[in-house]
Amino acid sequence: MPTDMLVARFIERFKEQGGFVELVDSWDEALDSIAREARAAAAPVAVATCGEEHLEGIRARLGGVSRLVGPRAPPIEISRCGIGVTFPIAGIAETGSILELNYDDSDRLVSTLPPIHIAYLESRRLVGRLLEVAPILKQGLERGAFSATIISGPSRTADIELRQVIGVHGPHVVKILLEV
Amino acid sequence: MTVHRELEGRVRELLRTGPVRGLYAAMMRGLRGRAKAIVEMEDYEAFRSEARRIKERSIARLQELVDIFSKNAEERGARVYYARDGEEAVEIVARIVRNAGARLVAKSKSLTSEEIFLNERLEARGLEVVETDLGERIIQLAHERPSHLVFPAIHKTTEDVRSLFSAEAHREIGGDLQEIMGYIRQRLREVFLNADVGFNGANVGIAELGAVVLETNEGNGRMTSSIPRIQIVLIGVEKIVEKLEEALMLARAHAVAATGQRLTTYVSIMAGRSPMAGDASREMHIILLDNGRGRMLGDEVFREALYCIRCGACMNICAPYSVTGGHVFGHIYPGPIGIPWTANIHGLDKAAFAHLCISCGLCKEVCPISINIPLMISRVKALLAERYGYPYADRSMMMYERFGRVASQLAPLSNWALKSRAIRILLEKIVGLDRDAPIPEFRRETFLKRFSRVREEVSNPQSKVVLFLDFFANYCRPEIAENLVRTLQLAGVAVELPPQLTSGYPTISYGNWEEAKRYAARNIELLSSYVEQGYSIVSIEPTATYALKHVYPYLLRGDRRAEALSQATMEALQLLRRLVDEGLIAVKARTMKRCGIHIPCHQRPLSGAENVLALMRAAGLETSIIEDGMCCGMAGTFGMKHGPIGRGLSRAMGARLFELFKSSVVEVIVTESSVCTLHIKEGAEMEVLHPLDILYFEKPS
Repeated sequence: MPTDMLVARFIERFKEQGGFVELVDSWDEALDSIAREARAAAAPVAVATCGEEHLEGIRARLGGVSRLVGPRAPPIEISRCGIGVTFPIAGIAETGSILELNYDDSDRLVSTLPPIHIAYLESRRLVGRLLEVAPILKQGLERGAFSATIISGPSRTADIELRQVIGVHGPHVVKILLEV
Repeated sequence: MTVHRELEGRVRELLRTGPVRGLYAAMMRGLRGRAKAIVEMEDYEAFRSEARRIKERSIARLQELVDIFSKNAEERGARVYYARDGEEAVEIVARIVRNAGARLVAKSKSLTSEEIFLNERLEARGLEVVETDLGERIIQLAHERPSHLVFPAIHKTTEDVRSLFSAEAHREIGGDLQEIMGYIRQRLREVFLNADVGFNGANVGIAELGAVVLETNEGNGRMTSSIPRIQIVLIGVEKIVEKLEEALMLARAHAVAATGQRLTTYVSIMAGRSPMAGDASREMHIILLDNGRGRMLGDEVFREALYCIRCGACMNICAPYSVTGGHVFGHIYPGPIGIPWTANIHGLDKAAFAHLCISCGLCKEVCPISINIPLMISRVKALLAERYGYPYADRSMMMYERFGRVASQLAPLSNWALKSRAIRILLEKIVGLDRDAPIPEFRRETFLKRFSRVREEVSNPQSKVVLFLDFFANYCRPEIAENLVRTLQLAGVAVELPPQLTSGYPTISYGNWEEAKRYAARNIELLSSYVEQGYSIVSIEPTATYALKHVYPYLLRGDRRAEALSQATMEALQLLRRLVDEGLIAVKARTMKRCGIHIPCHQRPLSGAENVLALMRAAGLETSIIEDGMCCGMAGTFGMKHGPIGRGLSRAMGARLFELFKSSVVEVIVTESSVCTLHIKEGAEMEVLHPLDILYFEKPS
């Protein structure tokens, strides 16, 4: 599938599932968006394990805006954060999902405990089909025990009278900063 | 028949109070979602076949996969246990919790844990277990059982939930849903952060990775499986597959079939235990549960139940379940697939709700793994009959063929007698035929007798067919069969009507396998020589066609003649449509009324409404399909039986469809099923006709 169609399908399906997608040109622009959200949330920001470049960027941009928690912070600290920032290893157009691969469970909690989850995803990481993530996962496993999560939107329930409620235990907002 | 009587009492009470509130809406939500998700997939049937193949090969290698899974999981640092039964599994869990010096267990939804009564048994050992899925938490606080697999607390109102949470909190929680959510989020967040032990089930186990897959929508499973230092996973051995790709396929199949989601919101794949904030002193314990699964594996019928991926689609389409709900139509495992599971895991006496199954077969059609649930249920009924005997009405209904023969021989006297209130009351008492159930009129001259007058020699026939009549066209409406035969001959088709029995499907419905096999074997014996000579078998009644195509090959597995008969069998309207398409006959309508089609359940795995719609539209009729997504409730002779597990339930099941017809613009209802005709005519109080009553055929001009 051509990249533009892959991107379009991913966005369409992720949004259908209650997620948000913001297109960004660069990591720098993504940082602007994160900073904006952090200012609005006025709460600490949890960050998952990521490359030094990303971590430094967040530290620099959030300085004076919000307290940064993590990577690899204890659960209680992450639970006090208003935003969690993660770096999915892939996006899946077929199901409108992102794939997170974590070697420390505190990283899982960054996309679980805060009410707002922001994921930075480069479009080159998009795959068409769900089964295409299998080799990525198998390769990831070579590094040791892991938890992988395929996330397809915000936490939800319809357990009471079938009324859809977004944001039960997990985030009520999941926003992808998609670098295209 | 104590178990049957108890069940009758529960159904009677339900019929008095009305269907479980909210249940039908929940079921339709699942069905509609599924339908939408399927449309989006490129080739759902191919996907479904592949999902079945995955389960077939996994179950075939179950023991080997258990070993591979255990070895790989242990290499990743998990501790793996094999529990032969529920008590052993509970003891393992209790020991792990005790050794950790823990008291609080945060638990995410797990039907397998309910199977072994884990919560009650742990609580009896002084441990506190908190369900963290919202629906399960509501049920836990109410001390009830789930009434639906996906929406366990669907029978509870917002007000019920508010009261339960207010009682728990010792303060008034507002009635607004958001406020309730705020409370539950805060309350359970404390549990997540403070529990020493997290417990979860697993949707799939992956042998090659020693990993487990956990699907949740709320996100609670992510927390119970990550925050507590000790993680316990309970997984039925049947859920293990070999490869990651297979697990991903099943995760997709599960979500599509259960709710129509592309995937459940969170699909977590956990391979070993990761550290938490650098702390690697964390434990993962995986308990593989047998609890009767090994026995099921060795049973040629019930083995297929192990293919179940717990999506709940079968209960979403089940008409009796829509009225009774999981508390009556279930033990721990609810719904259609719950019947074989209950019989094998919790005991036959707990599976008496099998009597609520009307053998419509739709559960198989909606199952993402195409599990032959209806025939497994029939087998459970057969086992129940061995232990408790047949309910008397069931026994009578299985003698339908004899009844038809006698009623026909005595017609019109029998018709007069069947209209007599006194005789009907007597029949109700003696054979269980409800005094108010509609029954057809019988003809003295059956079609088998009439055929010699109708049959014509067709020179150089374009094709040759054998007519498979079944009950109704022979004893009650021979003119339908006559119409068909004359039309076929007009189109140059040679028709034969050799001696034959009816399909015998009621014996399947009520679980008399020996008798059902006799019907199948006898019909195969009578028809096979024709099949070998190249005849097609054309059947008028959808249930008869279904029996020949789908049931006989199952009952007589390994019999090539059964397969050949199945291949040669076709629907009457399918053949007529083909003849129209080939220009050999033209279709006309006898009326121009607006028609509403009712699709009989057994026709769904055949052509659905495809042929009847095409023919009626070709005849210029304004035609639409009217359906509520489920069986109309008649289900052969089920709706004729006296009592709540019979006419009572049947009328309740049909009520929605009757209203749909009544409120439509349709002037006449059209269906190919004889018994649906009787039921809908009575319920909707409208004219109901067979397509061959409305359509006629001529040589093209």
